[in-house]
Amino acid sequence: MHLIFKVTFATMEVIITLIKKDFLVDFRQKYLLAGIALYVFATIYISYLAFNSVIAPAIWNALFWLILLFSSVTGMFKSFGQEANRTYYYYYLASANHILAAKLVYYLLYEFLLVILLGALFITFLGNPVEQPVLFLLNLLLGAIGLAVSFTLIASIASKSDNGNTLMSILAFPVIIPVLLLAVTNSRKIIFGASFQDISGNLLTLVCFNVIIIALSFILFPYSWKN
Amino acid sequence: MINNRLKLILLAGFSLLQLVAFGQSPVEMADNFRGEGKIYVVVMVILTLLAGIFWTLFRFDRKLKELEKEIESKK
Amino acid sequence: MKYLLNSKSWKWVSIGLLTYTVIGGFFLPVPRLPILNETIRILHFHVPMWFGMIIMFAISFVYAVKYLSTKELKYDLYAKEMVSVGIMFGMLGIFSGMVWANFTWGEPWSNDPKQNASAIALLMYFALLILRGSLNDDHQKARITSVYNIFAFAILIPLLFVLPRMTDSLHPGNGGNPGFNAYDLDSNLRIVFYPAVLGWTLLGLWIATLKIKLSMLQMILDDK
Repeated sequence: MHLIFKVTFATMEVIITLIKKDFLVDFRQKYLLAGIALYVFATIYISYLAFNSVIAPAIWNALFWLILLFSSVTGMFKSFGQEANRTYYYYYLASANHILAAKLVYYLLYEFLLVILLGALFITFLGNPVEQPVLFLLNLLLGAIGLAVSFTLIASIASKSDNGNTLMSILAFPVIIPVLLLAVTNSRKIIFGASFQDISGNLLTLVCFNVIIIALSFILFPYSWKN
Repeated sequence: MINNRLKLILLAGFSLLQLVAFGQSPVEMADNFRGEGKIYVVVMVILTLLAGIFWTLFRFDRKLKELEKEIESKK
Repeated sequence: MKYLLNSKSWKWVSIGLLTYTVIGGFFLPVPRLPILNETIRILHFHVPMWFGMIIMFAISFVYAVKYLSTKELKYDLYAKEMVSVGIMFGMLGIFSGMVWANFTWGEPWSNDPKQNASAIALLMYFALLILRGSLNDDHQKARITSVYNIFAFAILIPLLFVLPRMTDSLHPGNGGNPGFNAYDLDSNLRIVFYPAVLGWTLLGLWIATLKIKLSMLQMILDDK
């Protein structure tokens, strides 16, 4: 029993160290984070100008998810892209599952930051058609988790290629469709006044998808990681 | 009186006729086309095409086998 | 696979079944249904394309798993050629369906879940081929594409169950449309349809074995 505790503790420590490392790298290269923030801001500001501040709720919803999708794809690739040169280091330090767990947490935090930024900018510039914020946020949370976890494995695959950035979007878009479709449909229904009962089936499917993707990532990541 | 009865019979007759017509072909199909026997032409054409495809596939099979043998013998 | 590559007899089965499909498909009586009319017969030609695509992708999935567990390059080759034949089936299915839909629904593309599902499936597997093309080392190529192959297939199958919940299908047999579905296929249709699926699938396997043999020869030549 004592041994198991010790092992779990050690595992957690490795994972936390890896996450810390990711944030430290980001902190040192501030231009990357600033670039993504600017990207999000510019896209929303352009749509604000283009729509002339008159925007129907259905379009607000579609636009929100589209911008979230594109900014996630742009941001997600960078972390694995940097790892390509350091792969051999890690072999000595941590197992593939540790690295994947750390990356998953890192991407999740990153995705949440993105959602907060995006939401704030959307409400400022394009108004707020959401009348049930709790339900909307719950669905948004599940959708964001889905995006983050699917992109983690795809980013690790794409980083093996020379032109990973292009490949990232080609590989990720078809795979993300089920999660996106469920989340977008849900949030449209919520904006048009659906109750929890109306969308609980879809929410459950979304949770199942997230679990499937996480499980698959843990099965497949060791194969895509090791050279 | 007779006039009325005739009307009734005629009405019944025509509605029966309509029913029969409806029962016979509720939906339009290519019955005429089949009746004239042109369907045989269509089927023959498609079968000929299929035969051509199969023949080509078999030829590919044979060619590949020959190539395999050649490469084996050169080893 | 060894049997498929070396034996000839199953090819005759495919020929027999497809000949039977054409003859039976055109001559046997079919249910008379409004809107569909005589076009109900494309059930034997268009729908097996879709089945063939899924079966090819499933076989490819199995070989991708096999590659990852054995690291033998030939399994990766099988998986790749199965994907390319599956894509061929998918394209044929989509285009034949669009021709039919243009007549029956009035437009070639109408946000139907089955159309969307096949389009998404094709997108995934096209992406797989692009991924393949962008990697150089043989073993790395095989490993990375196997991973993506498994991931894509495992996403695709639940997707097939999720999509129909989003919008109602226009396909015959769904959402109050006249026609057939897996459970009330007319018995006259069934005795042609099932052999048709088997026949077309075997034809696909035949083409796949040819491509596999060709790639194996290419591999031997490259090694020299």
